[in-house]
Amino acid sequence: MGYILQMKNIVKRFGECYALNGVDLYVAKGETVAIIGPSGSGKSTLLRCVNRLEKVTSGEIIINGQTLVYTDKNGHAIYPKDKQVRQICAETGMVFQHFNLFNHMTCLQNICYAPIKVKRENKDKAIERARELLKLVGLPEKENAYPAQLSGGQKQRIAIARGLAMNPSIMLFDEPTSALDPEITGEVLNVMRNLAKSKITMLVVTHEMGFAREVADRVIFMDQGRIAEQGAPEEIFNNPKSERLQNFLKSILKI
Amino acid sequence: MADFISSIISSFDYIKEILPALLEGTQFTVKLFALTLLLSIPLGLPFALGSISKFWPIKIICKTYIWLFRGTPLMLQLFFFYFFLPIAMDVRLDSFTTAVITFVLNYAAYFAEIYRAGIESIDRGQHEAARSLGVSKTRTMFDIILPQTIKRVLPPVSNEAITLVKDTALVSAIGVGELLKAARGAVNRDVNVTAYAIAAAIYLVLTFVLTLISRWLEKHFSKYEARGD
Ligand SMILES: Nc1ncnc2c1ncn2[C@@H]1O[C@H](COP(=O)(O)OP(=O)(O)OP(=O)(O)O)[C@@H](O)[C@H]1O
Ligand SMILES: [Mg+2]
Repeated sequence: MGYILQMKNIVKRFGECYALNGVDLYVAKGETVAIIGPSGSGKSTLLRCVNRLEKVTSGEIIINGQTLVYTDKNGHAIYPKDKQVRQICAETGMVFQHFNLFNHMTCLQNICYAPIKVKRENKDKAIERARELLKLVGLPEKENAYPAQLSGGQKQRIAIARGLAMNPSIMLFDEPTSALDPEITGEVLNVMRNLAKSKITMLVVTHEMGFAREVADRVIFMDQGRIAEQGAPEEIFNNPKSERLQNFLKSILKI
Repeated sequence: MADFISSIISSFDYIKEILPALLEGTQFTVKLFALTLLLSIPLGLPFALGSISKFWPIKIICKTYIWLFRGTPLMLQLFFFYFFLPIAMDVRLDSFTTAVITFVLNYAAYFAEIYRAGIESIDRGQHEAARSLGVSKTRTMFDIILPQTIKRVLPPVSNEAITLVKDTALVSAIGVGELLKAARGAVNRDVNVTAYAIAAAIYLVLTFVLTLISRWLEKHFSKYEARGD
């Protein structure tokens, strides 16, 4: 079946530390996958390997049929030329915990920049599309505002629009609400909920168990650089098999 | 009383007498200042980019250049070029041109270091966001990083500009007739320190104007930081 993302036996080592230790992950088109797990279990590293913010130590990643990296007989990870890597990674849209909006650009410019400069889209069309995206995330009136003039929740919604503007085949979210005050996480989660409904493929690292339970098609529990358990949300949350997951869920619910 | 008035009038006359020479000196000072700034501000950028380059030969060349020019006295560099260029390279340049060349090379090194620090102070998240959108390294530098660096380097750059105004006085050592040299001429000739006071006033006016300009620029470039960073 058509997988948007295939990750095979991914190993990522930082010095002596194995951040990822043999991860296999397949994401189907239209699927929403939530990744949960304790701090330091390798969730961010996994996402960052998908769009080459980190280079894998070994393993294979295929994004929408294009090979981003494979491992040769000698165990070396082989990436194509930088230009091709960038083109493959542009198939993924990344949303960061700390937004990382371009501070010197207005919201509209933030959204249009990559489509115009990287994809060489027609400028008027890109602007038109950016306005649609601003509507989609509920901020049409912020077109000319600078990031510094927005609240955290608004910044994150603009960041989502910026990611969507490249028409990626998969959206990656790394704890998109962790830097936000609890009372404004809702506006961001709402936008993501709508994306999931419109069958945009998403890989979401999150501490929002309610969101994972409600929106995800599949939940992955990571521990010590491996996928320790995965399944439908009901299974994971109502019927956790491994002791680690049980402990993790207990510790989360206590907070 | 009459004595006092007549002494004021005569000192006015004296000022009127020495002013043309001082203003001519000021011309050299301002010209040297403007040329140095105009050339060294852009020249600092390639050296800054070179000093953070991943290509080590370029990195070493740029770092060495910055180290040499920041690590030795400007006065020494001035003497060096004044004697080195004619003797070793057989080019004859007037002392003003020599001064401009030395100052540009010296100040470009300082600006390069300021730019480097500014570029490296931009949050890594900006690089990562650009990368995740498929933006090339070069484009990221010129479209995303450098525009945000301008605001951060403005205060140290204007600081250097003010230092430069005062450094111009050094070139009298190789015979350029700038403001301080003109003033010293008048003081030695007339045994009267008025010329120094006027020179000081002129330097103060120049640095004051610079302060105003830099303040205006800082305001202009912080328009996108309505609520700070
Ligand atoms: N650049 C790096 N250099 C060295 N070690 C790193 C680096 N990035 C991550 N690590 C290590 O890799 C492991 C996994 O880190 P990662 O950030 O992926 O965890 P995480 O699951 O995202 O945790 P959190 O929930 O706290 O964000 C950790 O032990 C971390 O210390
Ligand atoms: Mg993380």
